[in-house]
Amino acid sequence: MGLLQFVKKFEPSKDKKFLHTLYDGFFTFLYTPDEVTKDGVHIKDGMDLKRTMVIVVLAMQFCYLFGTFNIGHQHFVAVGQFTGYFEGFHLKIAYGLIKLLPIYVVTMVVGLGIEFYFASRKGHAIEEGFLVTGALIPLIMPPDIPLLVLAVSIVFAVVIGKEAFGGTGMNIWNIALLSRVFVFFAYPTTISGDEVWVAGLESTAAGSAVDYGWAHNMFNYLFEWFGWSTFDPGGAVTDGFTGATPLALAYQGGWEAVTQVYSPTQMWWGDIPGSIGETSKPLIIIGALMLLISGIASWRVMFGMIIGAASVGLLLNVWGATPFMTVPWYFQFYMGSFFFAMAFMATDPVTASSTRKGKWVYGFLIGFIGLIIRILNPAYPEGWMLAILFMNTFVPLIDYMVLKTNISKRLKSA
Amino acid sequence: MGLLNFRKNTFKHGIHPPERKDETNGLPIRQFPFSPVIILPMVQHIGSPSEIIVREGQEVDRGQLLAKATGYVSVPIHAPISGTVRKIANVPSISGKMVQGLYLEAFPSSSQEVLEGKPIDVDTATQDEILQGIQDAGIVGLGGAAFPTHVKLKVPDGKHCDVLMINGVECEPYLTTDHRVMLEQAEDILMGIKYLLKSTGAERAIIGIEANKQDAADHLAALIPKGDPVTVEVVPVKYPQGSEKMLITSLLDREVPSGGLPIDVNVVVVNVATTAEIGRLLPHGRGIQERVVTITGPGVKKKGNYLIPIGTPLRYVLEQVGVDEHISEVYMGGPMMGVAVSNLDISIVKGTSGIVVFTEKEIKRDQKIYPCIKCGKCVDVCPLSLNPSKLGILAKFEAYDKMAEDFNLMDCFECGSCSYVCPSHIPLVQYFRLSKSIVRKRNAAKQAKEHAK
Repeated sequence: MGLLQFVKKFEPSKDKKFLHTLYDGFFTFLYTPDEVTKDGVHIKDGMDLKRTMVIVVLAMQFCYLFGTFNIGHQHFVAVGQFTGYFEGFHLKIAYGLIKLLPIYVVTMVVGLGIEFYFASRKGHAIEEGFLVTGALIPLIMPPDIPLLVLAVSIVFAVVIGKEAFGGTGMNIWNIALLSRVFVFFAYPTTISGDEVWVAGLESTAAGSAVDYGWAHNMFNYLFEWFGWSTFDPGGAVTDGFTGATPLALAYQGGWEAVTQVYSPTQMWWGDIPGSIGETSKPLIIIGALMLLISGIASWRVMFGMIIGAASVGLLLNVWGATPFMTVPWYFQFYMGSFFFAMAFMATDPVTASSTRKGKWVYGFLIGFIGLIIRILNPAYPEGWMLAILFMNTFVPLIDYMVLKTNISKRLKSA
Repeated sequence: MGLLNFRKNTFKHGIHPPERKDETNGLPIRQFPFSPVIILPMVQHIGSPSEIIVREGQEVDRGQLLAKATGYVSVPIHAPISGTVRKIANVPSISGKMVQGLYLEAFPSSSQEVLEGKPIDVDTATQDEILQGIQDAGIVGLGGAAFPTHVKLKVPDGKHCDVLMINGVECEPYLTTDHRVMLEQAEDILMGIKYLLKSTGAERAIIGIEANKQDAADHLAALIPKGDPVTVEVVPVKYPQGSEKMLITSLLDREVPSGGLPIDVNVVVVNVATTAEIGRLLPHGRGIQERVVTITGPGVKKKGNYLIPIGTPLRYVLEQVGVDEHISEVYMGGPMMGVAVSNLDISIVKGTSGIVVFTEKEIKRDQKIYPCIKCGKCVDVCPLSLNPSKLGILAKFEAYDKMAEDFNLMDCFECGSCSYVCPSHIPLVQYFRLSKSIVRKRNAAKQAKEHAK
């Protein structure tokens, strides 16, 4: 109890609005406040919103760990050094951290800054919703995203996407995806093409020099002291490296073109260029299972999406007009960010349907539309972001229809 | 869970709150001491208040008529004890309002014999005589709703009732009243069913009991004479199965239409304690003077099921059973649908099925209300397939008419499952209770306006 009293000493008076908001936000993160129920239903289920958010953030940590490694790994593969998984492991982690930490810090500072500003302006306690959104955003960005672009996109997503609609829980579109879609349309060169998915490359042309900055030099001092290998300032992109993602390859030459560069095992375990957190399927599935077992994410949405995507894959297999259509439907799941979108994006409760039947419809249509965008539209190499945002728009309608059918069923039975 | 939902003997959705019934379900019903003063509000039922027919200072016998029914949807009130009418005045009621009532002072030494009236024989009485007898006995729904039973039993012209359902579900946590009544007053229940079958014209009766009261189900089933059209059915434990509409779905797989009543699907549902009371009182022509109340909760020293005279002040009840010094909340009814009392001077009324006392420790809860994240937990548990999350948001913006017209607010029967599961601690059912009363008032005002034209 000593700590509690210690923390309580710092409680600012309630009329210092900003300070009290700040204090309350951190205090309730540590402790359950000692207020009691006054009316209404007098017993309550143990699950509460804060626990929900903590579990979601925990479920993402596997993606963070692998993402950190994969940023470095893909970089060194491009440069032709340490191509084995565990060769230069410390360098890969260090390289990943140098890329990922600034992205994470910028996301949190900008996002929480806006959150604090609006909370103290509206005079309510801080809503922790951004902790989840803020943890998702770095995972769906390319590793080389310019920090200024990232900051602008978060300002857009939080202010226009969330606060303008009334704050946490009132937004129509998934906030994390909104920030990505903003980057996608406002700064297309930072998030499309072959160069951006592998960190630290100005160009994928063979022989292009790669330079390291002060942060790498600091790590070099450390590694030298241990007697480990260090960042080589003279590194250059190897001959034959293109940086193309499996999806880009599949669009050009179907499944064969993909397997010439990446093996299916490689794609499954995530050893491919891509957004930071999306590549490793097994680790995403572990996170998804955590969400399912704790009852936070809806299995109806997830299965709906799998069925929707599989059915489109099958249909287009039959049609087979372009090389991409001939890719066997089950290999569609190996490429791109299907699982990440399924586990963490489509299941966002605020923007997903809340009725049981609605969840099936919502999930199915995301899977359906997302794969159509991926395969049929050359301008958009991946479709989940747009499919989810598109379906978010229709969620109120879906829920309304489901509700009406339930009621009319009851009317008919009279 | 949802995938394997083949079983038909329960309703969709619902919740499983902790039951906490084992503390009192083994304790037999005991007579409660008579309080020296009885406080009787005239509003103990839904409908028009009863009208006092005694004067101050008058001496009354136990069972004597104190107030008569005013109109069809109303019931009389009988004296729960022999004593003197001390005062006719406004008395505090559970709703927080002061209502008309009277104070009755018990004779210090009296045998407390009960007055008998005109007995009604089940074999010779006509349908209307039984209904009249039920009204005269002052019987209302003892499960908590306190709706006059004779109104419910009257099958409207053009409708017919084929199944009489006796509700022994008692899904509310903590309460064991109906459980004990079924174990100890089984004969009265079976007698009551005879009266009810005759008055509704139903062909058969089903006693619906939740699986956690298997002993009561076995006991009743063993007592039913061969050839009687009465069966006992056990349903899985789930809240709010004790609601009429849910029980009908569970047992008969019929669904009461939106805005309708059980009689629309040819069913009449009566609570098991009400049935026992009918079977006990009508053969003697008596009025209702006492009822079984479960007194329980972590703050109570002598927990149990007590036969308490109606009108006994809550303060006296708590003094007799002994309560913890740190009590903070007293609920009348169960913890899900009951109300926290604001005043210990209110008294036990006909609809009081239980008193639950919580201490400070028990109800210490995070009361911070987070924003709704539309997780859909409330939608998953709502037994009527409404959308509480949407309704909650609308209630916050005071869009009451939209709630009623587009989102079927008026179907909600305030079971509180949504508030129970809400991870954001949004007081959904409280919002709906308020919204419903506002909508009702607006509709009444609208009707009055049209009437005036």
